[in-house]
Amino acid sequence: MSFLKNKINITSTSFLIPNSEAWKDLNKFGQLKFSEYGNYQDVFLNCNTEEDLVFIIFFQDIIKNLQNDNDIKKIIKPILDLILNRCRNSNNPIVICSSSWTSTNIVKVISSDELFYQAEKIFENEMIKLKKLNKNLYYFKLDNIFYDNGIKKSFDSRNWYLIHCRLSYDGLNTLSSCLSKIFERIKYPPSKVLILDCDNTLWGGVIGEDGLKNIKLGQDGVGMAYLDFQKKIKKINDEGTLLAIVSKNNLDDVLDVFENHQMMILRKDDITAFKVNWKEKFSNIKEISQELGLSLDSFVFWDDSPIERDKIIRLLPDVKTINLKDDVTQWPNLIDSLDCFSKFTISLEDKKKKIQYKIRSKFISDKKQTKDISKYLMSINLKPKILTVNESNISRTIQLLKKTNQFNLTTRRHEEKNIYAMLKKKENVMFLVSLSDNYGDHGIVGLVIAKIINNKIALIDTFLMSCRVIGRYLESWMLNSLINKLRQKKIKYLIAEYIPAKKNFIVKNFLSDQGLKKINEKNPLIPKYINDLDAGIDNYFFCETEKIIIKNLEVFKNVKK
Amino acid sequence: MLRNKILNILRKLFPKIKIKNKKKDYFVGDFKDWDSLGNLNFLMSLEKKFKIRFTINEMSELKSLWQIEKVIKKKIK
Repeated sequence: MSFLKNKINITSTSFLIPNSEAWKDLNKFGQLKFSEYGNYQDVFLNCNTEEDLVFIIFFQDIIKNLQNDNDIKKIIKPILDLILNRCRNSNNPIVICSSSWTSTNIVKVISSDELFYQAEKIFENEMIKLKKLNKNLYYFKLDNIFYDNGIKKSFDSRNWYLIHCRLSYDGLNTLSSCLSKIFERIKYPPSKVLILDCDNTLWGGVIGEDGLKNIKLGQDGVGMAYLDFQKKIKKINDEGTLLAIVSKNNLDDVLDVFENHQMMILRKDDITAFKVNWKEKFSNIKEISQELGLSLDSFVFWDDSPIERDKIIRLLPDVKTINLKDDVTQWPNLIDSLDCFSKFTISLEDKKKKIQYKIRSKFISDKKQTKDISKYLMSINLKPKILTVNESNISRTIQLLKKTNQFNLTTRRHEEKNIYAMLKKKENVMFLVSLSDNYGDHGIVGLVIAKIINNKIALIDTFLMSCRVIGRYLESWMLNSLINKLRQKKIKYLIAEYIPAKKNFIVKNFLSDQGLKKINEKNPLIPKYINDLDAGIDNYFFCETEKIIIKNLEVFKNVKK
Repeated sequence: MLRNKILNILRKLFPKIKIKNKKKDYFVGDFKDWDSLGNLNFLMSLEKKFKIRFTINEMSELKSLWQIEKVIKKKIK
């Protein structure tokens, strides 16, 4: 995987003890390059803009004996300039964290006389401003993450006098695991579906035995804990995580609670899939995965029964099963502390997700019932549209590149900078596709990038489509649109590649099914410019743009050009 | 027994190191990775493993396996 080659530069106002075992968590996310002690300016100015950068500021290292706010600002300014400059020049992640902790006493705290604390406040305000303008900038206060283990345990003045490292081994370890979580979320999307049980999970008691009036939810004590737990789930749901109920129960009983219990926070509409029956949970979860077109590794399983959890751990190891204590009063905090659902920013798309997946499951069940698929697709008024990539949709473009795993020929994860660079070359073909139909407006769901190699040949760099519109032959329409554009440019040949990845086997035969031919080694079309043959020789295809006839276009017959 | 535990930590930290004679004393600098910074990491890993703490003087003066073993023995008693 490409991120493994990634380099993470780590620099700080103090020394951070490279090669310490404490760094092993972060090591998984890139090759770590530590700067020498005190050399952070140099790193900011000279490290490769294609590499990631982590900067850890200890205010006790840079603020000496100063008098007032202005002096502090003078010291902070050059650091902010370094950060700003880096943001301008690099699209790779820049992670900044700061610490103002120092041994103190209660009188100083009350008189808020602490210099480092004031400095950090000023710095923090500036970082908040910068963060709004720079999507690749991440900032957090180190001391906040040290609270869990004890802040005093995280610092070690022996290490300072010994080797100029402020932190203890535990402190380094906490820092490393925290940075790994940040890099994990930068590189991988969060979990998409939360699977919930009902009895003794969403409410206390067993609905089938206790009845609607007697289940514990909302009154006080433990009922309040279930209520708070539901509130947290609701929030996660509002931020784009789908909910599914998988419960061994009678469907009518469960729906009765969702529809008629006064205190229920979660309503029937919030739930994307109900699998309430007496089947084994793993088979229900598999079904949901198929219906939503989401792979099992994007599922989280929350169930109060240790037996059910053990079964899922054994049978569906890809699903993330949450290890629970029996004590429901801890759950509201536990679900907050899980980082699998959290996102750095919540986009409008995230908020719409719930509805879009509902539409998707309805489409799938409608389609199942019809015999003539073409006829059916013709009847649902498919309306695709081509959009040029620009500032207004660049973030969606990047999101598609980052998140589309299944219908994606090459899974190249271009950054914003690459996209703009490719756009600059006017001859390249790049467009987005949006789609609406009787099931609703699906928004921007496709991206095509073709590089013009020379006046005869174009190469598909990226061809992807969001899985929520799979099954509508939109991919045919996209390919046809690309061919049309190439014809206008009088490009004779189109070369396409399929780069196998973990989840994109569904596009394995797309190119050959559409009539593109395999390129073999003798073929002169094997271009020298495809230097490393990313896909392996067997996965290259080509067609003559004037001759190829794309299939399945009849379903778009009614689309106005 | 104690020596084996110490050697395991050393090997874990520096996988390339090959200890041929377990009874022999080895010094900082005997292996490429086990330099003075490597030694600090080694001592910190030992602190973690044995739940002990070296003083700043020990951190800078302990430079051989035998010395280290002797000090740890004292501390865990």
